[in-house]
Amino acid sequence: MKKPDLHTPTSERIPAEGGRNRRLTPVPRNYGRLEQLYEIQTVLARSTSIEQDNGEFLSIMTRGLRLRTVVLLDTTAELDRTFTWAALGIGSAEIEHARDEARKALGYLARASAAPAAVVRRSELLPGGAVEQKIGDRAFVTLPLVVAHSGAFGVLQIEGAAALDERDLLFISAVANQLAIALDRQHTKLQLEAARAEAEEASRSLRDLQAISKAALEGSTLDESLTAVLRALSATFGTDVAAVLLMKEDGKTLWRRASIGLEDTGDTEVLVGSGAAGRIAATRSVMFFDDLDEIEGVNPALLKGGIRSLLGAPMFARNSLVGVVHVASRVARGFTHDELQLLQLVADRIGTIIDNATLYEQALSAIASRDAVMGFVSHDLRNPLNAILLSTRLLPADDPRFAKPVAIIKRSAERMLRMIDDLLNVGSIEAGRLSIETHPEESRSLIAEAVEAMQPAVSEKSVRLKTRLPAQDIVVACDRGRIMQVLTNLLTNAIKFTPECGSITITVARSGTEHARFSVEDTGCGIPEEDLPHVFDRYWQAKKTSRLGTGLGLAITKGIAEAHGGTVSVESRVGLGTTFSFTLPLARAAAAPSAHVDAQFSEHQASLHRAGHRTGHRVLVVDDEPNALAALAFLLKEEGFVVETATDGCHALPKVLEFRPDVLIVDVEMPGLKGPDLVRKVREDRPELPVILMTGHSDHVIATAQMELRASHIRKPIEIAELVSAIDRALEKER
Amino acid sequence: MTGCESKHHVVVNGWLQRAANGDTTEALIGAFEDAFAALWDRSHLTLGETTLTAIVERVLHVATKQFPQLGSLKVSASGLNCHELRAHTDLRLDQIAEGIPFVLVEFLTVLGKLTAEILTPALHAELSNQPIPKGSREEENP
Repeated sequence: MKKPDLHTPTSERIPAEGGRNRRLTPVPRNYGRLEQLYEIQTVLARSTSIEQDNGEFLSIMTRGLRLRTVVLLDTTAELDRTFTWAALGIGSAEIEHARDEARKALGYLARASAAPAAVVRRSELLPGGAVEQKIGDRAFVTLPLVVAHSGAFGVLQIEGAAALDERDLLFISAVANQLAIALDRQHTKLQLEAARAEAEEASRSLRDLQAISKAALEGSTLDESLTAVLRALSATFGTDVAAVLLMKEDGKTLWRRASIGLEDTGDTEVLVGSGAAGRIAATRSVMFFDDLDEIEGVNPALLKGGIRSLLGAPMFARNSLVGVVHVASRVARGFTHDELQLLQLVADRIGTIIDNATLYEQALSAIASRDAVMGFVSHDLRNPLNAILLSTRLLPADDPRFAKPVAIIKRSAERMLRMIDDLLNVGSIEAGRLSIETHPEESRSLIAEAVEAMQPAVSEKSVRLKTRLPAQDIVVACDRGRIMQVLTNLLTNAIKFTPECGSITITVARSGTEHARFSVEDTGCGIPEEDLPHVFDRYWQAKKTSRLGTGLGLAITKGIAEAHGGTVSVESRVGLGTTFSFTLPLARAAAAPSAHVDAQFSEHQASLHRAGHRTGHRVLVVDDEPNALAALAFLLKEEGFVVETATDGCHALPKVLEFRPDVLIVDVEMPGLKGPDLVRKVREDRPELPVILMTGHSDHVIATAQMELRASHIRKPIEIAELVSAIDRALEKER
Repeated sequence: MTGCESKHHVVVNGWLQRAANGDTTEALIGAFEDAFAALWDRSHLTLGETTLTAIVERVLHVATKQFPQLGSLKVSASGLNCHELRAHTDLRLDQIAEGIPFVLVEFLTVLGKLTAEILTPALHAELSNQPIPKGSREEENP
């Protein structure tokens, strides 16, 4: 290969920026050093560490140049190193002086942003007379180590044993350039390795954090979650103990909520500012204690457990300190910066977990309180409603003067009753305790009953109510009462929003292989598209309604359908109408329909038969609502019973002995001796006495009382026919 | 002031006397651009553009602190760029006449110090041999 002819002078005139011509002077070049330069280039090209290779590099340098000192400064954000070489006989003061010169030069050449501390004043670089005298005839060539588009990160300083000329300078400049490239490559490699190590550490921390977060999700209670987190934390950090301490409401004391590896010594509290956890809480910062023996006020439980080192972090939730989490070890040990950061991340998560759990507990408590209030309110509202509805039966139905007002009273009371039922139903649905008793039911029968129930409202509004039923009846598995509630809810809505002369169509058809779809389609005003996602929300009401109702009907419809394993849906076009649909599971082929109508008929026949035996049967009715009690007594007497009454449990007890009733009818919620307590006392003397409980409470309260007291029940407001049937059944059983 | 530094001043002042013979800012900047280009090209042969750029950047950094009007001078791989400086039409001749010699002396001083004054004689010669700028009074009135 032909070597480059370096003798040829560079072009004497080359065009410069802006069109100006520059005059160049040929520079004498030295071929003797070319070989050395190649050698240096080779050494630097294969070099992975200047620490290892600088000896070889310098030996090549000294072959061609007679040197006194060589100083190499290499400084970056990560490195700050100095390599110095001196010829034999050079004193340490001279070496130090050479280093100073190199540092001053670097201070001038380095960009302010790269090495702010190293920047020196010009006077220091270009010392005044005194320093100049000290330097004497020492001549340093100090060239920056720099690569394109970056500031000088170091210098190569050469001090010749004899005067250096431009050929030497050219050689040193070429070496400095090679060195800069090699060092820059090494810097990049080091930075890459550091970045890779950092990424691996971050990845490991992330895995640890994921494992700990996963552990937190595994618990079904806060205690289980915390214990799982502490176990994972202890395993990750390799510690003997891990604990979570929560701040008390007074803000001055921490108490141990969960721990692993600590015996329960009863020492579960620590004052803020005292001991390890207390100091962490007081400073609100991550703290490390390498020897707990030297800390005052440390929780005795830790000392008894032989704990030496502890790392703890404050836990925050919504910017408030909620406690402290710590890991601790029985052997003295340190923790890395990454472990410290990981613990803070975990502490933040635990803080959130605790906060969420607290909020959840508060929400559950609020729901329980609301349910209790709703239960009481519904009971208290049902009592007067019961009296109103029973009293309407005492009014002369055939007197035209009273017919309309009685109808208004009855309709209003029934509407109020439906609203109370809606509130109770929503409570049950939300709590997941809506009671559903499914039986096979024929869809035709369900629809026929719903249509019959809605006929008066349909006639009043002058709308057409049509049905579209399949040729072969579809049998579904459902709670008839609940599905009637759904159908009447949907039909009531449809009637409300369909204009006069409009039409409503009820359809039932198979939906897939396992469900039937019931649809109620109206030709009403329709629902705007933006409202459709909200129609099944609680308390949502169409804007055009006059707020006649609770806004719970569709939410209850959805809850009931879903409790059956079905779904609800709505389609609507403004101005054309709306179709609400719900699905119910098909009944299994072997199951027979309940034949509700037949059963009702049979019950009616049996009732007529039993009526003949009522005469003389003694009934004791106990209720604290005097108006309802009086009305009930009157109506039962009309039915042929011998009736005695009592307004509370205490008065009822002697009457049970004196009056010797055949059936006891008791209100559940009474002041003083409550209904269930009265029944328990009565059972002591008359264990087989039939008892019927009257209650305005929700289903689950009734079910509990019924099972414990071996009593049947009837819900307020009382339908007299229903009560008579219940009495008849009770008497029948006794016989 | 060191011996070398006073020599730099003498050479630069000599150049300035000849260059400032023209009576416009534009002419002086033009003369400076030619002079610095000569110094750059001469140094470039030995030191290469990366090293030279690093040195000139620092020289300009120091000069700009003392003479902010020189802040528009830019260094690139091909040397000093005076385009932006020339575009400042509000610059007075006396401001330029003060700042430009500073840049030249600073450059010669720093470069001399860093290279054990090896290049100094050659650079002085370059500056001394700078032709008289076109349009100067001397040229108009030989």
